[in-house]
Amino acid sequence: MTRRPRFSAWKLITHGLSRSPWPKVWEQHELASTYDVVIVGGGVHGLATAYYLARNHGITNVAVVEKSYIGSGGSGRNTAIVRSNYLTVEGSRFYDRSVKLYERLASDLNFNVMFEQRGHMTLAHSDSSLRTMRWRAEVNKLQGIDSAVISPAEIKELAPFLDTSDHPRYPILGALWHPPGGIVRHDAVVWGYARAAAALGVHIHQETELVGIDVKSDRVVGVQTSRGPISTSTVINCTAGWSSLIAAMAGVSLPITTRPLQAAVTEPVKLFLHPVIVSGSLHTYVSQTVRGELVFGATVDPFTSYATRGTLEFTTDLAGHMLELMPAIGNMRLLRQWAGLCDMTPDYGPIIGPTAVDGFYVDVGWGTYGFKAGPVAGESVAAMIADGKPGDLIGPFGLDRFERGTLTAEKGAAAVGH
Amino acid sequence: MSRYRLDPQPGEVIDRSKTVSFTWNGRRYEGFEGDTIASALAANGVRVLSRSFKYHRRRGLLTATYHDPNAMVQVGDEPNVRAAHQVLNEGMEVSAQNVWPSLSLDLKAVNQLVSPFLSPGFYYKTFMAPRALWPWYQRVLGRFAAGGVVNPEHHSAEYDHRYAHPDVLVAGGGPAGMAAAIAAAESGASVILVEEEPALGGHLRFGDDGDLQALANLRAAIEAQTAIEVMTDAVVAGRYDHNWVSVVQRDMAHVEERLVLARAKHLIVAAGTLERPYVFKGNDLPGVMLSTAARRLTNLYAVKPGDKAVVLTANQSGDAAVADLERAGVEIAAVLDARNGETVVEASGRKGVQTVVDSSGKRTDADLLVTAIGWTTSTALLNMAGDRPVYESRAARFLSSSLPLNVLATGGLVGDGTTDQLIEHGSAVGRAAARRAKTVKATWQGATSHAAPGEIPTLDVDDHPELFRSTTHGFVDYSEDVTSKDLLAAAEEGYDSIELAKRYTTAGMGPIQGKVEAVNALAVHGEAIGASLLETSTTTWRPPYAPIRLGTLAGRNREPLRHSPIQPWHERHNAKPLVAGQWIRPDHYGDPEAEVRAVRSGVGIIDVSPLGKIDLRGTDVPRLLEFVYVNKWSKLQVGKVRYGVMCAEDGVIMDDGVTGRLGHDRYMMSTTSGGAGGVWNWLDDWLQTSFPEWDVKMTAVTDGYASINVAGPNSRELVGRLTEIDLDADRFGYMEVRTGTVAGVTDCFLWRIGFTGELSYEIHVPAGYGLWLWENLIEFGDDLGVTAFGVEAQRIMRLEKGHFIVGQDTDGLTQGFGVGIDWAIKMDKPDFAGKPELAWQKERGGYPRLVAVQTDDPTVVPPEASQIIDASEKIKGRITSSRHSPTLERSICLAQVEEGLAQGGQRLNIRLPDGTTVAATVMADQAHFDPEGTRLRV
Amino acid sequence: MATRSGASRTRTTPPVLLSVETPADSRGGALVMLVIVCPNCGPRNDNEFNFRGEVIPRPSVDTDPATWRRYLYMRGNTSGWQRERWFHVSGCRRFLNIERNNVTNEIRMVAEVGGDTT
Repeated sequence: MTRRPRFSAWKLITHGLSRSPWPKVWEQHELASTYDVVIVGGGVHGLATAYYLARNHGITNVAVVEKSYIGSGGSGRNTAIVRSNYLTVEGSRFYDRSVKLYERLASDLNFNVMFEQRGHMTLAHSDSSLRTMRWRAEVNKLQGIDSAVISPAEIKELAPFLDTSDHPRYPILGALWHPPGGIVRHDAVVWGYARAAAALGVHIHQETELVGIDVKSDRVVGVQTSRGPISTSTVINCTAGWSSLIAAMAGVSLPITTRPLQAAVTEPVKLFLHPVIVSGSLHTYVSQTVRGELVFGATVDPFTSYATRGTLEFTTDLAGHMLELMPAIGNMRLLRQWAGLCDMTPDYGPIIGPTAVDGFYVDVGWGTYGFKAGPVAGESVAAMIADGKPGDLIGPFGLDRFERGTLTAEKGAAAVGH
Repeated sequence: MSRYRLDPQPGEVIDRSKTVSFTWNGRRYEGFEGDTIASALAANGVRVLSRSFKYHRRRGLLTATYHDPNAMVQVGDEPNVRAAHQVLNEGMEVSAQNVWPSLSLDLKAVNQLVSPFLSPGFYYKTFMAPRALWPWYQRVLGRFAAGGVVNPEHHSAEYDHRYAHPDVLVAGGGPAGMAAAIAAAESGASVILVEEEPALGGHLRFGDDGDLQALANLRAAIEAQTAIEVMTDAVVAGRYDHNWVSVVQRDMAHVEERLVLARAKHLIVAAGTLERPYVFKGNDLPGVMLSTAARRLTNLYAVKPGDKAVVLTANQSGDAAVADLERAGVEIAAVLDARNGETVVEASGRKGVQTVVDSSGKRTDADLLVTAIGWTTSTALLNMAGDRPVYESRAARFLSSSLPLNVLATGGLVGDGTTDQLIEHGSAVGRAAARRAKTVKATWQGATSHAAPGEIPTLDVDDHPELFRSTTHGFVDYSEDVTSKDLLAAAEEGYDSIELAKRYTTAGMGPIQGKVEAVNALAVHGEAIGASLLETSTTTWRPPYAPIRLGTLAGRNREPLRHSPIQPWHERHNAKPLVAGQWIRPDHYGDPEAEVRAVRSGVGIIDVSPLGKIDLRGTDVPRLLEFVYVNKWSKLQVGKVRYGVMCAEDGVIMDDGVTGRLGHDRYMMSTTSGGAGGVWNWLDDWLQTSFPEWDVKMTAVTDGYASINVAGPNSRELVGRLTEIDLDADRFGYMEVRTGTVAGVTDCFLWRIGFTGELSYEIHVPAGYGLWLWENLIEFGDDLGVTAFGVEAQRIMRLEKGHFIVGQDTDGLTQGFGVGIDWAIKMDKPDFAGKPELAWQKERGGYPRLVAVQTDDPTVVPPEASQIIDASEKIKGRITSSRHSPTLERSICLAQVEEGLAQGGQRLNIRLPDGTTVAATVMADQAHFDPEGTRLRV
Repeated sequence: MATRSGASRTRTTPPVLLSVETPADSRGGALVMLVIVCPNCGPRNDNEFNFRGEVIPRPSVDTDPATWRRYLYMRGNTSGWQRERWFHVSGCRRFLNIERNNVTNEIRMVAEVGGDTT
């Protein structure tokens, strides 16, 4: 384990004056032949799990196995929105814990993840949508989460560029306003967790692909990687986007289908949009980074794919909806589009916990809401490994709920009609 | 004329007879028609165009093209305008971006003093504490955001997209591209030729006399070819599968910018090469520019780029620049030949370059430093077609490695040659493309065998020295202010793959998206990790190749809007519009509660045309109904109507509606208006994939019929005035259907159903007569006090009767039992959709119930979605529907509650949004009003 | 627009190989707006179709909960060639069986349900 010097303004000054190089954020290691825990996937979930295993439970003989560079999957492609204003009690409690962790993450990790609590606004364009917003607000309030329904006049004050008149095809009737929500620098979260985990002794193996999981009598005994075998009795699948393929290696099937989710960014302009804006009915969302770019997202692509592709239709539909919401931005230019892969589950809830194969755990099914859950998922999965059973926060998200027919009720919101 | 404007040049594009005036940072200047903003400024001796993002260093022209990172300005309302591409227009107000208080005195340049502390990723290493100050840090960081300003009052014009289907689309109008277009057209193909610059020609435009002559010949040949459509000032922004191509077209009268979506059978990419800057200390000073930039200024715009120049040349472009500069009267102070190992190590100066230091240590005074050290192939479209270009070190550039059969490359993208050689290659490629386009067409028409694709000639690549970075450090990404030192430091710090290094330093993430900087970044990164460029793969090129305005992408707003044929009447009578999915419906006409009273005391009419209607015919229709509904249908007689609920295979309630038997083998199914499309698809799925042998013919007739519900005690009287159908209670009972003529219109059907709880007839008339029937009802019901009522009044009345609305009183987990239709679920049917889950639901118990609720205080109307909580604030349910009832003169609700609280008389606490709670009681019946349904059955 | 069931359609179309494209790299090479050659309507853009996914055989309604819920929820979700169902909702409204590679988005077979052995 290497002592990692702390980052700080003072350190910035001393390094600047002495022009000395910064120490490495994480080292490369040889692949050991055995680890106590092998985490598959070097995104925010895998790295956070590794960190909390080491930090909270003293379990440091851990390998994170990542087939490309850390954060190359969903963690590097999302639109980095953090919030906790979910519909269900179990959902809002879970994500609230994540928001609280994000609030202290920069100082916990000694790495500025640039979490900006700009406020998160979900627009309602129909009666039924407004009703769902109120449902969320009421559930949130009972969990002590700052969340409320606001009127078009209040919306206009918070985001003057929004068209709150009745000119749009689908006028804004109100919104769910959630002040603690905001945006974060997603790469920094990945790097921060990696650096902190590495400092505690975790081995991060990039460019190392999992090619097999060895199961004997329904328990895990090891894995095969592109750099050699590892013997272990605990494997955690943190590969949202590829989770079915990894789970199949252990003979586990999942209720997941993989859909691309696209995003795009504009050129930077002077800051004019403070909160994060989501429109459920128009299926689009937008935020403006501190660099001045608008970052957009929409819904998943209409069919399954493992290609991280972009489509022209995504950009034309998105632009059309954005100009409905904010007519003045027609001159802003779209700079770049990309896509990531999402694990879609039947009830819009994640899948966290043990499987029928002893020692093989999943932290998957993250749909379009995985990045915001990185910290709480990592903390909870680490606790589950250390305690030998899932805690209360993740209990409702077990894989067996599908067989038992007890799906989470986030689906309840998604199915309500316009 | 300013001393920087030269005498007329043979290839100039300016029209000296037309002066154009504009302002730059408030000061008035003049240029000529044909000037770009940047060339006009250069002609006036203005060389500083911007300040850089982080350090706010002065910047001037570098590439003098659209992709010049230093030439982004604000023009009026528009931020981020490319000054070296945008043609000057009379009266333009141009200003520098991201400077304060001005371009010349920019106080943010103070960042330069602290630059050692602003190493890459510096913001990750600080601003962490104290947390209370973080919002302040954010605001400070935000002030440094680059880019122009968005005007909140700005309104974009809307321009329709255009769709095109050329046989061959050629991306790039240089000599090879032009030749390819001509050859393809001569081979019989329809061709679209797209060129980014304002005129065809590529590098020939600013070439020598031979180049200009060749250009004239090519242009004439293109004009002569009617099968070629030329788009200049247009750029291919993206290439998607099967050559689905997006083109941003700008050069049109009256239209700022327009998107063309083209399905090209074959694509030829002739995008050429982009000249690359050299990395050395001071490489970003105004006056340091590329050879192609200098040649553009002198040859296209007749502008002298400086007085005294040093030229670093490694190729013909640099050599030609020396000749052009000499001809323009620039003193050539030194020519450094990189082919002989000479190079530049530093440029220095205060507001621009003043001194150049070469590799021998010699210092030369100069106000212009021109570099020609190499080319980056413009492979973006090839990448988008699946190509992964490979680096060829002897040529110092990336070359295409594998293309699909419907994409070919020609010109500088492929190799080097004389103008004639480029034209020859382009022509061969054009002919091949025309042949292949025919194959693609045949494939789409069902052919399964194809003609062999044929051979394409090669084009050799010349050797070129590999020059990326001098012995000193300089800027790699000008837009993001990332230096080679930053990239090396990032790699040393552990961000040791190019992707990590790029994200950490933000190199390549600015508006130029790597076109100018990516190769240098790879080369420098390669230095750090000790790998050659071959190993370090190119980062992926993503669309759009050039940035596209959001307004251009959006085109004209084409959201469908549906309304009933009776809509004109609603509008004339001031109906408040309700947005219901794609439909606009009348919510009410001023006073919904008065409408309710009118219906319950007299008669009212409501337009329910959006109701889903599906015509089902065939001997097996009852089997279909038995399968998709939870109840039984096989004994439904002609003339009878039944209410049905559909569940999905997970037992969740999907839709509801009534279905009537209009004839022996003729049924009419109704669905909710929002569910109509989904149910239609659901039925098609079962019929085609599971029961293809059933005799069922299905036609969606939602829009074919207008539907009007006539409700209230006087409804029989009113309807009777318009039809011969016998409406006598004994002969047309509740839940029955009749067909016939109403208001003189044949082919109507009407059924007696009970959503509002009143005696009512729902008349379905062929849609063309909807308004006619409505107006007749209004006229004939005048003495009966007939009142139009809207969706809101209907909602109130159905709530009074305890009828649930799918998707409002039920949600995505609500299964069949527990919402008041248990009587309808016939578990003894052998099979129906969702049966197993319903059986297990019943077995398990413990599921929520839908109940009617009334608050103690009759004046309190709890907002829908208010939560029902117990003493410890645990959630036990929620209010799903809530209104003030004018009939009962008190508030009424429906709620979902936990099983244990579902008995009549149970006391509840409802939490209101303001945090207070009100007490309420669960009612014995789901209906608040007339639970026996006597009013329905008169 | 009328939908007819009744005797299963005997007409099949020969597999249409859209082989003018070579496989795209899985790391985000070719971008897509698929052309699907509908047996009834000819080559159409993919946004005219609804994607229905893997075809999971429906168990008997008397089966146990685990089996029924596997049908409802579990999916293979493999990468590579898929046998899947699409619905030409904005065209002929026929359900189609399609063989598509979900990494490269090549399509090698399109046939009406009932038109081949499914």
